[in-house]
Amino acid sequence: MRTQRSIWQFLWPWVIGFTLLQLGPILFSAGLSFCECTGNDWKQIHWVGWKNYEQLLAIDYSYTITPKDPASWTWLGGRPQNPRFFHALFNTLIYTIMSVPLSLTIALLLAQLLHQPLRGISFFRTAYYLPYFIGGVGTILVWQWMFNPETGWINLSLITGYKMIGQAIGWLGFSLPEWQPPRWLYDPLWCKPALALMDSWSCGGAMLIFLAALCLVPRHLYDAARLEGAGRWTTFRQITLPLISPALLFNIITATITATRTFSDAFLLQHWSQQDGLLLIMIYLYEQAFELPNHWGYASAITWILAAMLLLFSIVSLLLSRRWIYYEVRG
Amino acid sequence: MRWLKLSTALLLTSWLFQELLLSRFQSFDTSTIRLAFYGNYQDYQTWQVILQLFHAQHPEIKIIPEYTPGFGGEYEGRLQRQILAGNTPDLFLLQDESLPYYVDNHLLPLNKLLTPEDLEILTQAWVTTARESLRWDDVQYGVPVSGGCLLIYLNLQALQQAEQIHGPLRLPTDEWTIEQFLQLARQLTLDKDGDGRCEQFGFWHPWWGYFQSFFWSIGADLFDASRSHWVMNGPAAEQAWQLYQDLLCVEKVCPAPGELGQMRQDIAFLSGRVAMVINGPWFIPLVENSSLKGQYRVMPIPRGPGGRWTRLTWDGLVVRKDLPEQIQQEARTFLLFLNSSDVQQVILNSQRFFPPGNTIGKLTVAPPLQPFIEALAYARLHQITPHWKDINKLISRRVSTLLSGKQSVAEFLNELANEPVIRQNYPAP
Repeated sequence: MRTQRSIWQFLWPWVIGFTLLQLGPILFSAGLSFCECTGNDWKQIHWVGWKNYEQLLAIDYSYTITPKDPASWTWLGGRPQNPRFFHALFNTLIYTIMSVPLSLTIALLLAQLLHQPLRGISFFRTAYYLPYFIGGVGTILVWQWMFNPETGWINLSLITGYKMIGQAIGWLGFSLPEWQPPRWLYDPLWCKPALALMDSWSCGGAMLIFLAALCLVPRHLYDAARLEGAGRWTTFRQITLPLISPALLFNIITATITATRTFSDAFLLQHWSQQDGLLLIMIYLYEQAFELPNHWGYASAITWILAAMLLLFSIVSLLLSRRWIYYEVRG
Repeated sequence: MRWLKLSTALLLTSWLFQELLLSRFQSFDTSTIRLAFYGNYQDYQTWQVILQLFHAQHPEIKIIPEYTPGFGGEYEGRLQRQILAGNTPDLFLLQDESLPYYVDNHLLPLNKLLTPEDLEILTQAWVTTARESLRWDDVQYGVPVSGGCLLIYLNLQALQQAEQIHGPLRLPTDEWTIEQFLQLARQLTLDKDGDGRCEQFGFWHPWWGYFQSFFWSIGADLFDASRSHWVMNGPAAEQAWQLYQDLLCVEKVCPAPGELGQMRQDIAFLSGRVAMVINGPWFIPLVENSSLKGQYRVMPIPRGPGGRWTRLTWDGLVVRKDLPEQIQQEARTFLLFLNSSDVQQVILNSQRFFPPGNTIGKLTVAPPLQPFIEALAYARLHQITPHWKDINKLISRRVSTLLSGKQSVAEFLNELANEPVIRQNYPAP
């Protein structure tokens, strides 16, 4: 009895905080998603039922899709009533597909590199983890400068590299065709890869989890594999990957959720020349909620659709993971 | 011991929520007026001087300034949160474009605060555009404080650079035309070393809203006079948008996105990378405090088949709808005080805006501001509608495709007219 009371004594500040700052707003936004509320006046809230959801998700299947229409319409099989919402959703999907594998691959490679018994390895581990928590507006602006098509370091390096290859090929009597480097953040096609590249820079969090998982892989398994004559790739595929699969699953789910919730990077890097290429779902949500004429109900509905999609993704991932995940690691 | 824990917890909780608690008490404090405004540091200083003058004349009235640094978004975001929290400032600065979004639920019409005589005196003292800017459905909602119109700044050092190549160039006259403007923009665009990259551009490609003055000069407009029909179509509209597209995509007299790095318009102009920019009087202090002082000229928007125009906006003070009766008299006094020549002079002295009074000629105007005052004669307000913010976002989005060169002007205008917000609310006449 006394123990239970002690538990509650420790818990109540958190329970109050959670109820006031998380559960309350969650329930409020759920209710708000069924209402129409504009004009910054709580007195002007009207119950509209599922209207916000219908407006967001309705698709006109009678519409004949033309080649000029966005690719996402072909996927949907018709014209969405709110094309911008689907455009944002499509952008988010593409960005997530680019960003998650890229950042996790880099994180895993780094974790493998940093899982070496070298002198001073802690320094490198810290150095590679640093970008994870020093990210922010300043970092984004530096990346923006690096991605500049005319003066940025990335394109200047690409051009120099291309020229060097051209010179080398020239000695052999061949020549390279004229090539223009990507315009990155000023191009509707390249802006998403640019953002994905930028975000992979802060893969330190995933790297740390992979590193911890790698440390748990028993050494004797590698020794046995070596005795059996397994190569590096086979060892990685047959031993390392299955044994770090729980960490991989965790990283996939968290990275997907993080990518779907990307806001500040895309918001700061937006430019008209991208033609809404970086209109991610969180940016669309922000536009609806926080820019005049503030469609609070509509924005809340977007949040819940997004939450439902992420929940579905997590459940499917967890169900599918039973086929490939391996939980038998012991230190 | 338990009481000690409880009181510590309460103390910590109240410290956490101090902002909220304070704002509650503040809203019930009826002895003072809360005045919200925005702008840069110079605007802040201007308001400080106005408030000092007011407090010197009316020590019995206390006005607490609530300043938000920056423009538009940050300020309106804060304002919206205050409104939602029931903590609306008593008086707040609003740009004319935002008026329709606040009129219905949040603003007190001036005829409910001021006597008919006072209102008459005030409105008669303002220039017509100032009076109309904060008026909605024939009801005056705001007292205009400061305004600005758009003109073209020309960097004379950049002109000299162009003269080294093209020989002496004629400076534009006040009556210059769009063709002459285009010709000058071409001449001011320089690729000195012939590497295909321009060191100097003739013109900064402006946001479409800033380019509206050109639209009007060509004879195009968004809405008809009643603001109920969409009229941005036909030859004049096509010609206007064609010019907007060509400046970037065909003439290439403007830097393409990223061509000048992350350089902003003001820096590009001050550094001479761009020779001409459209900007308002708020740009004057920056230019005057740079090495370009005396090395620039301000010219009108060029004349076209539709005449000569410039886009004008006004910022003014509006009154919150449920202003407590106890401070209505104080608010009235302050609003009438804003019309005094002292305040008008303070605004003129800032050199960032001009005041709304129609007796501006009797005040001292700094020479750099003079062209903007003269432009008032042909300045016009942008046609504000209840859907202005949505339409602005819509056009800005659609413009990106137009400026990518992947869409013709006719397609652009057709798609624009078919957007639901335009088609449903502003059908073609």
